[in-house]
Amino acid sequence: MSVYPQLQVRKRILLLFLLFFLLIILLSIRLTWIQVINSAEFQKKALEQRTRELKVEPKRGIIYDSKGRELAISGSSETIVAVPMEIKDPARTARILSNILNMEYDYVYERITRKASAVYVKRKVSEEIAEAVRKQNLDGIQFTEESKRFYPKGNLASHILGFAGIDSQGLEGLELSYDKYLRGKPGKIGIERDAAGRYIPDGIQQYVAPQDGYNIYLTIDEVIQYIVERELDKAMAEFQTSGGTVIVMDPKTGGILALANRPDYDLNNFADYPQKNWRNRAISDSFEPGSTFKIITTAAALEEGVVNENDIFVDPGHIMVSGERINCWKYGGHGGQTFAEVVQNSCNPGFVQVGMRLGKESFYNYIKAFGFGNRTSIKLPGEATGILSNYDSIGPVELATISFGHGLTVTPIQLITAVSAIANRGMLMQPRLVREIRTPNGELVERIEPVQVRQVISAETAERTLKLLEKVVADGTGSNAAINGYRIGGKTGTAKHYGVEVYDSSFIGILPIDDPQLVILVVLYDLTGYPYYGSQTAAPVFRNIALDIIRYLDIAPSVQPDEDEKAGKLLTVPELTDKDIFEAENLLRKEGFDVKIVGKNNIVQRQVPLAGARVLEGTTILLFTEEDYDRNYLIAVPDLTGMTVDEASYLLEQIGLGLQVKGKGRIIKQDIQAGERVSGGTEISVEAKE
Amino acid sequence: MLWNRKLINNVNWYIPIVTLLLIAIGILAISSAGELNKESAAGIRLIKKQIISVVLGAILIIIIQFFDYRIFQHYASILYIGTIGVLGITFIIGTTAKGTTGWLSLGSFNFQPSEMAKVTMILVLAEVIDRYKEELNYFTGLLKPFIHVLIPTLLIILQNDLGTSLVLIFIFIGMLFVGGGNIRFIFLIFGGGFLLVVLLIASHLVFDTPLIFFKRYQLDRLIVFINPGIDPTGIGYNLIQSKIALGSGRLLGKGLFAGTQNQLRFLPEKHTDFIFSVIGEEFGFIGVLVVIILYLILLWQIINVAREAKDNYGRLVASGVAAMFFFHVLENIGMTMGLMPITGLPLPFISYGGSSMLTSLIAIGLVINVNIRRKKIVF
Repeated sequence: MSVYPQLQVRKRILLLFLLFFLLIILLSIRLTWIQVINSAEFQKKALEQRTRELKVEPKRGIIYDSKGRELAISGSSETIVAVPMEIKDPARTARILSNILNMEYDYVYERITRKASAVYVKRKVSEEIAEAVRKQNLDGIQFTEESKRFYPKGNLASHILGFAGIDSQGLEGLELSYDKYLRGKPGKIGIERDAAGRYIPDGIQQYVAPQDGYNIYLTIDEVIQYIVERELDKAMAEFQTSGGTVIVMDPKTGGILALANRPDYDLNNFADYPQKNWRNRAISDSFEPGSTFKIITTAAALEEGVVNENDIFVDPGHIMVSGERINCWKYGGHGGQTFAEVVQNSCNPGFVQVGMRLGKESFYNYIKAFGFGNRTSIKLPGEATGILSNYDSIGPVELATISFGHGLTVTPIQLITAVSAIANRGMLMQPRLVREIRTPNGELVERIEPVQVRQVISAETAERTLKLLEKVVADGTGSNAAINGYRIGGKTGTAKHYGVEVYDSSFIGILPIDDPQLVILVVLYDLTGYPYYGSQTAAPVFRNIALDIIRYLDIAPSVQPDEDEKAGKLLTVPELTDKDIFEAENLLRKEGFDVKIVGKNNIVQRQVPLAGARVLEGTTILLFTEEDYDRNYLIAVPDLTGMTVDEASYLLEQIGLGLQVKGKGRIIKQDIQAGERVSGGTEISVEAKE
Repeated sequence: MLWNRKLINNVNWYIPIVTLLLIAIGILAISSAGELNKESAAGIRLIKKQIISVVLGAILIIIIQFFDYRIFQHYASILYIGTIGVLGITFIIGTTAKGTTGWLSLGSFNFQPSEMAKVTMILVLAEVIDRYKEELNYFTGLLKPFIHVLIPTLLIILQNDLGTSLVLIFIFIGMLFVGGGNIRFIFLIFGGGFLLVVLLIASHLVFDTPLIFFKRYQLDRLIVFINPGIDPTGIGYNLIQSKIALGSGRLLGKGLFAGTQNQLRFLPEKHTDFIFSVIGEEFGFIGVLVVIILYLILLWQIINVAREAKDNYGRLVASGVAAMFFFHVLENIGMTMGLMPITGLPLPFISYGGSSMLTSLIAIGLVINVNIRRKKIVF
């Protein structure tokens, strides 16, 4: 039938199959490559393709004071998001939004018409604004919660805390320097989506929880910080000054208990303040220390043995150094005096001679050893070094001026750290702001121990220096800083700006001398007009601060206090209005009050404090015999919001105001606004909330 | 009637059983591709239509058995004229789907004549090759069946259905080979033609010479498998997604209804052209290996039918069917993994599609017909 043998045909059919078989084997090899050998890569691709990662913001760590009071917390806040695709009438939406959010219409319109799946309209708005927008029920406008930094104490400790920006990134202060601890690690949600990009309900593939930031515990004590800031505010009001700095340090550990500058700013609204207010002058700015620096000269000279307390110095009112005449602040000079008296009187010619005895090399080494010219390594951004001339450029005149604190600049933190070394038996400590870092669950991450830098002088020299400083306060230029019953060492400083009648005044004090627990530095910048001397400006501020801290920390007096302030007995102020002035004065003096009469009439019109107030024995009661006089004694109402009732009541008691509380917990509202001036004894009504 | 009860004893049961297994796998895969687990109405409709096609095909298989296959040899010229006629009508009045003007609407039933043409052309070519078998050793002899296949092939190319025309050419080569064609001439004609096309394409790509038969986008479609990056969002996207589906299925697969590329609709044309990728994703390497082995068994059994066929015509018909299935399988599977151009040829018995299913089942029916009538003396 066929010309081909059957066998040949069958062979061809088999050959055909063989071809099929081989080609299919080829397919299978390729399949093995894709599905077995190389499959992990495709699996990864598949996963990448269908999951979209969303960042989950961690909660920023809390900043606590030394007693565990919250200084910076993170709350959630609403962010307004637009979904352009869903907005039907962008012009109307933009108009409404720009009105409520107080934003430019064009800007809003541009954003909500972008070709994007979602855009931020405004981030982290207040609850009221969010509510107002929500009420409009706009298509395509949605809300998401974001973490927002909140500072419950407003301005308090603004320069220490600093602030975090919109993305919860630290920008200033501790928020910046401890950012890596506070920030936390963002988590993520891998959301599964289909090919059209739609989310799949219940399709969450992976959720990596955010790791909230660590909490940090400061050495700062909120109450001390309050005291410091209050007194600084009072000084700002009282003196003609551009600003000030106060630092309170525990000399034994270098721990900073309070640090404040003026001008300051509200941490919750930092953007509303000029950037110069953000500046932490305590560490970023240097000033000419003037006489406060004599402490360093004194300590160095005693340590080197070039002088002792009873060496006699003669001050004719000036001293000639290399042909330059250096005057004493006291016209005519102090005459013959012991070294102890030189310190007491803050006599410049005397210190010039001490500096000369020390010699340039030795003195320079001590200055460096006390940390001047170098950063203290406090963990805050923007620390300055101050200006200390090169060793080689210091001639006899420079040596002389440096001896009494001129011709060099120091930062407040350098100065207090150096003086604290003297209060700490000669051991220089590194300033410390953070004590502990803990996880949100309270587990300890890191404890920051006090760091000893170096033994600068011997403990014995330190003690001798303190004794000299004690005399400054007890009998010398620092007498305005004295507190009855407490042994306080200190030194004033007044440095005139070159060529203008502008002064930087300071006081640094140590107490108690027998066992130093506090070193307090007060610096007032750019004082114009009288008074400007450190003894008249900074010293009283120091005294007020020290007095309150002593009470707050319950520091025991070292010497028997004078009769009239014995043990701080509390007395009730009697009702004196309409009484005869002499009768009233007699009554008060008999009960143990001090009396000050203001006005020329004979009948008491008003009294401060008011009757019924509980005050310490020996408190001065002001009796006004003329109605008008009390204007001068109006008291500025402090900002109480954010304080606990106890804190507020304590604070108000200190400044002579009363408190009426509704509710419990933290104060959210006060009837008389902060800064308004009211007469003593006025009751401030506040509302508190848990 | 040419039916004899004894014929049933001659059935090679492998063929219907393997076919049924493949159809079952197909229906499972279509259920997943149609997202039946999400109670998709469209998915249910797909399954219903597929099952109707299968039932219709089964009925056709049985009907076919009542005729001796040689009747098709007898009426080959009518079949041939009919095929060209229908293809011509389709070209004029046909509707277009997916770039192919290959659909005829018969009432509510859409039909793809080019699918059917593959089977009718197998029957026609078997007759032609059988008729000219004495001359196939000569070049001029080879030309006669070549001309027969040329007209419907060109008509199908004109309908933009390159895939089906390639199937036709492949079937023709396979049948010529089995029918005793001169291997050197076959190789010369088709190898030369292939070389010519490749040269034309290469010269277009390198020297920018004009293309004759294709438009540029068709060329891109054809060569995108070499580098899917040419068109990553268009046709290249299909290939990329298909490979991801296959690869991410790994050895054991993600499980029925659990294929993410499939269920999340990353994979395009998943119930038709890329059904194999769905199987690969959900049943893994093991799953696709089963499918491949089933095809090999089926092809082997059809080849056996060809070997045992009573006459040259039957042998050629069975060989043609084997070539057709093989080319479909090679092209479809090769396409899903970037070994072959993307042409849109369905995977026989598995891909969704009524025309394809009917065609494939009719082809099976023809093979069974040749099989049961393999013995020369029945009575």
